Amino acid sequence: MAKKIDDELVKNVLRSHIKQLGFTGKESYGSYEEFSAELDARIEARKIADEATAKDFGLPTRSQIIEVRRNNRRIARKKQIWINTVAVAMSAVLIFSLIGIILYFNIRGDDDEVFNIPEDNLIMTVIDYDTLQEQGFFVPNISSLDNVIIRRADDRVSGTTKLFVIMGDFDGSRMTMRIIFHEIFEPSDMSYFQSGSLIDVGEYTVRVSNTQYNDEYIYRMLFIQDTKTYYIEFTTQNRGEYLLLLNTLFSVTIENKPNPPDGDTVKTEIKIDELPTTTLNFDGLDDMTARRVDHRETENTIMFIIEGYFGDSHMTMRMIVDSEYIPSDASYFGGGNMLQVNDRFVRANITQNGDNYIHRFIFLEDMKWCYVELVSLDSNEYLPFLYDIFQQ
Amino acid sequence: MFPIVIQMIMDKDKSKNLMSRIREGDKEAHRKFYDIYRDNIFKALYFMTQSFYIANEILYRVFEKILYGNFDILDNLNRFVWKMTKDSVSEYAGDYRKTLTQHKEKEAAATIDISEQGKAFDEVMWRLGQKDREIILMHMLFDYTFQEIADDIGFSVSKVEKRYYKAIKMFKEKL
Repeated sequence: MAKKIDDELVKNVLRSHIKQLGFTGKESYGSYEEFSAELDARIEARKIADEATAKDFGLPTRSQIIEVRRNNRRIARKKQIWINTVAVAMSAVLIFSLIGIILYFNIRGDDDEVFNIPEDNLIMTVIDYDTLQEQGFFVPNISSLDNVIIRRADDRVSGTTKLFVIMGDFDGSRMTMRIIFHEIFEPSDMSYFQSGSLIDVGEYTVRVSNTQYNDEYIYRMLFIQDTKTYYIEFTTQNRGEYLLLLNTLFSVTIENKPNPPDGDTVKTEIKIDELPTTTLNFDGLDDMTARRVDHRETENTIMFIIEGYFGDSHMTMRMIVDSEYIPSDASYFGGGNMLQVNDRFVRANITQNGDNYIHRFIFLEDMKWCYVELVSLDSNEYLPFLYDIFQQ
Repeated sequence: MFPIVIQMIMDKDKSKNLMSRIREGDKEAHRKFYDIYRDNIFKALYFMTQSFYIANEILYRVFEKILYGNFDILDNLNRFVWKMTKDSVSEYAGDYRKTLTQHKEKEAAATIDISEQGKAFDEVMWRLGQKDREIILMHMLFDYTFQEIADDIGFSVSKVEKRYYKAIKMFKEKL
């Protein structure tokens, strides 16, 4: 910051300075009239000189040039006004569009809230099975569920879409079924089914996906019936339970062997001949046992779970006798690599859990999906393992 | 704050009014403009050209530009006049070089009567650099604020203030 000094004295000197000046021999400037007359004379003289010069050289005069410039400036100004007007109009359209979009999504937001209705606002009643049937529902055998209540949330949905939410317990597991009155309607939960599988349950085909959350499994099932979309979420601690639920709901019997706890697993020494593969080599694996859990999926799908040790690493292989089947674990391979082991292609993914490395592979063997989990302390163990089972 | 804003709007209107009347050929408005600005324009020209004769020559050009020219008028009339004055000096510079000898003769013929204090003032002015001289003229003759000067010549405000007060100190030592 500059130090301020009083400048009044300097200003005074400057003010009085000029009053003492004369020029061209005069003591004072002369009057305004004299100045004005001189100014007019000079302007006139210059004009004449300009015109003479312009005439000599065939150029436009100064006043003509000024006129042209003035016109140009006028045109430019008009152009600018047009540009400004258009810009303002476009800005207005943009602003109104934005407001429209915001309002539209605000209104839409109310519709979407149907899936998150606070429980206080719901009509919760014990299910009236007959009424549901009269209203044209495809009625799964809901009466088999304990404490079933219906949260009738139809008024909360716009247009042709209505929604029923049915909740109940099934042998200690929780079930929520949403019935959506609109065939085209796709629940946002559809993304769960990209890695799921199709299961035939009697005459119905149900799309199933599952995820694990701590010690609970969440099964999501979706099917369409009578232009209604049925979406079921089933939270259970028993992996096989969902098939029992489907059996009960659809009043059919799918041969099912729910996944037993380890203690109850029928573990047998592996008999290579019984395995539905002829090309894989299991000789190098120690203490191999096979947990044959066939008929776990659909009538067409048989699954073998093969367990064994490879050195100190533990291997679990699921072999699924259905090339159409997409294992739900496929999602692991979104970020995996494609390995080539001689003429075979193996999709591989590795994750670390504590000191352990979990190697996951998926490959197609004799038109069967093989899914391998190898839990190892060695991050490179998977290569010798692959060489071994492929007999490379 | 409010009265200041009102005053600014009124000043702006006054400036616009005066210029509009001048452009319409109102002789009274011409006279008023002459009374207000003639002294200050001449002083500015003198200190920029260091010549009474040339200042007088350019003075007519400045008036011609302002009164009859086809320029957009700025909101602030003081700033408009300063810009026209400075432009006129630049335009005249070329002619001046060509006819330097002639001007010198005419300059010598002009009888100048300056007081001792005026001479001392001039002496300091000629010692200042061109930018410093402009800062003094803009602030003292055309009521530019330091912020406006800074915006106009591309210095920072603190730099403008520093240079201004340094010049004032030189003046005070000499006067």
